[in-house]
Amino acid sequence: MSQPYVAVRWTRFKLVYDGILISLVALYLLGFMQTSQWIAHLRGIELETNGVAIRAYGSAAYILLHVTLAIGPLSRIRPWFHTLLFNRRHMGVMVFLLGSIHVSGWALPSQPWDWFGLKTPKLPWQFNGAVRWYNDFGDLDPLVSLLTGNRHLGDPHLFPFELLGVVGLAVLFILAATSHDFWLANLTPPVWKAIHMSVYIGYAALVGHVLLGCLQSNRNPWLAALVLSGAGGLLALHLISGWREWRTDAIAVQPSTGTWVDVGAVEEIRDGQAKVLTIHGERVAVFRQGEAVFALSNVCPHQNGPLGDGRVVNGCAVCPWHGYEYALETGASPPPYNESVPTFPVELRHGRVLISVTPTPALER
Amino acid sequence: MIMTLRRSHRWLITALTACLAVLATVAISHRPQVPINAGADQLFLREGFQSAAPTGFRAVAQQTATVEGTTLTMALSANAEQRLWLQITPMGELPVSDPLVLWSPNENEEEEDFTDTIRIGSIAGAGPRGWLLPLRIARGRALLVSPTDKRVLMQLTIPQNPGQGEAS
Repeated sequence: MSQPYVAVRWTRFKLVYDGILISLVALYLLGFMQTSQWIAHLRGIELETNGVAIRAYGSAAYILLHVTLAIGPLSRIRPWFHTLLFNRRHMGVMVFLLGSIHVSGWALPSQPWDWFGLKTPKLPWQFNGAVRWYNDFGDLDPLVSLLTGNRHLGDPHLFPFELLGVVGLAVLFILAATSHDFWLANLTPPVWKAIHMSVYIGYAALVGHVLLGCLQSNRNPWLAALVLSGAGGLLALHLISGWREWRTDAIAVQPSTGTWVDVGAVEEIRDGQAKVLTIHGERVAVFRQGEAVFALSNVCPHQNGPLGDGRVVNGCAVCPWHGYEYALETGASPPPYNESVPTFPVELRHGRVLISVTPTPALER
Repeated sequence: MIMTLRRSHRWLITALTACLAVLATVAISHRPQVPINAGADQLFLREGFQSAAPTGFRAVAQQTATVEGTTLTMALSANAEQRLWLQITPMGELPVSDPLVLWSPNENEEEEDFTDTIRIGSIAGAGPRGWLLPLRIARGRALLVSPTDKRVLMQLTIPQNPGQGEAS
């Protein structure tokens, strides 16, 4: 960007998005803990409040991870979900924060207060995280106990599922730490995308953490059904959207006359929208604005978003993921931005749209 | 580049689906049948948790208290060789996740930092738990603590000359 650097460009939309996200997470946490209180009261048992808070934060992170990972394939199937995709990274960071609180608890560290001989102040809703609460029985440091205490690696029931949680949280940390556009620009989109693909490794580790952890001690069939349907549904969504993408790529258009490709009749493209086709292994978005037709690379250089799923606004193709704009004639972003995409020469012959297979490189600015 | 990423994503998701399906099947089918409650005492016995005093011990001190809504009895017995047997009997499940039994040489009921204590054991499960105390323990206090909260939940002072106590 050629604009002055601003850490986060807060807009009203982003504030509303984050406000809704934080409110829903807070409602879930309160609902989980209050419902646990009611159930314990009805059954006449004492509630182990630390364990309830640990489960509340852990389940909130797990559910939100599913929602975050579902938005990508859903927006490919139904464009309405692009609204959620716009600020999906904040959801990912929230997943990491919830997971961290599940592990380390919600309390102030004791060190600064101990140094001055003061008592550590208590936070509202304070509780101990899973590492301390379940690993502070003996002489070992809780973290050492967590990492070395259980070596039943070959037994599904006794497997140290906590280690899978450590792997999952480490992946979430890397993704949260590199989620900012600063890293996207400096690592370049291909490297950034490759790093962020590791979210699936983290997801697999966290599903294993739940399957070999809480599902072993809690035999409630509804809980098992919920966990299995969540993972099954998410993977099915990814497989369906991946298969649809593969089908689109498989229908590669061949040049009809020398180096020109017949895209179809002008009327086949809706005004202000695009038709996407694959030429020589890359997707091209053919936009129509009134009677004029333009062809641009379908890949937004920001995060590789599908430009062809966007609309034309003020003579620019707008990426549906994050609103980056590219002029239809030149492929260049309007000033002060300096991103640009390759374009393709277009000709209209007898009401049919033909585009050249040789792209015009993106403008260097 | 984008096609390569898309292809990697498709293969990754396919592999993930297969692996997680296998993992879910194994995890669900191998779930333990044993409920984690007082009925699992046999398992605790197998792991070395004693639930009854050996023969020849006489009661020398006893304390009953309610901790987090659960009534607990801490009892000390001694035999003719001056060996001490400590037994804790909860009347229900103690809703504290990290209960530890410690011995403190300090006889004063001050706030503990647990630095001079010796760990005797934990009271996992809901049944009675007992320990034959090491020979060096002949005075001081037996403590039931929550190390995370640095809190003494219950304590029993070891009497002078415990071997001279009343017969059980």
